[in-house]
Amino acid sequence: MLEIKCPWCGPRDESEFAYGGEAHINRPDPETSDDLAWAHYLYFRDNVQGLHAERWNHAYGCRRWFNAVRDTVNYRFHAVYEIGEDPPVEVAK
Amino acid sequence: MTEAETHPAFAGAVLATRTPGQPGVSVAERSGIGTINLRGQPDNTGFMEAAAAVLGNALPTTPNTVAFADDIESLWLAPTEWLVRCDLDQQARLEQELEDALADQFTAINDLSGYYTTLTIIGRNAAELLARGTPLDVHPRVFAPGQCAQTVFAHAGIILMPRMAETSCFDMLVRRSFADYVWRWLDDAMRCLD
Repeated sequence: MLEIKCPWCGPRDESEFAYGGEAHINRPDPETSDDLAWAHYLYFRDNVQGLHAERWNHAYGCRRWFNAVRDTVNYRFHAVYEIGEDPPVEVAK
Repeated sequence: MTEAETHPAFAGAVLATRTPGQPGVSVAERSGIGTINLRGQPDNTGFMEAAAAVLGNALPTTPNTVAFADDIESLWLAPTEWLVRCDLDQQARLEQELEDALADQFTAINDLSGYYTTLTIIGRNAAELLARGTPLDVHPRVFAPGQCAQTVFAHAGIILMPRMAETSCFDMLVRRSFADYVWRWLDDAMRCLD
């Protein structure tokens, strides 16, 4: 079980949170993007080994979304930061 | 107005461990509480000042804390959300006062009196009973009166509030539709404490 530090509520148990997938995926303009760009937006994810920027929702707590950097190898959280901010540590490519 | 009467499944009932003498913990519903959900921006001083004037105390901006004023409790739920609790017979008046005072503000005021019911869990084993169902640390060293927390209890979302410093006592706000389930779960968990 992971302990995740909500930016507002502090450290809480993983069972209070919902995972939101990879962070920093920008929605392309549907008017100008082609099918390939749209498919990448919808379906393609990085699947990195190492530090991964991802979204979490404190579903049973304050219900806020936030970003986190987690190591996909050992599950250790390296940072939490607000939606709209850049990752405070360098993430794997 | 919504219904905020006692829950039909356990109205008037009390759960208690059967230790001879003082029971280790007991659970009963506390009815007659009015609940208002209040939303607004904490950096909007117009909103914060108008709300404080009605509620008698500033809304808490520290996460997971409660502000008290006379018979009104304001619980921090999220950076832009609070839960105001008062006597049920004061609820309609308080809601109207908030609506009047915040008419010019970017806000949302909703009556949730029929949404939550409150279970009061009291006794020296109260924290031990809660620990069986919630991952939250409810030890008085880290979770004391003046604090509140939204968490999960046996898969049900709840709001927990320690009430008295000298006695182990918690208010558990649970959604009315989950209350029967949580009540039975508590009943079962208490058998292990005897």
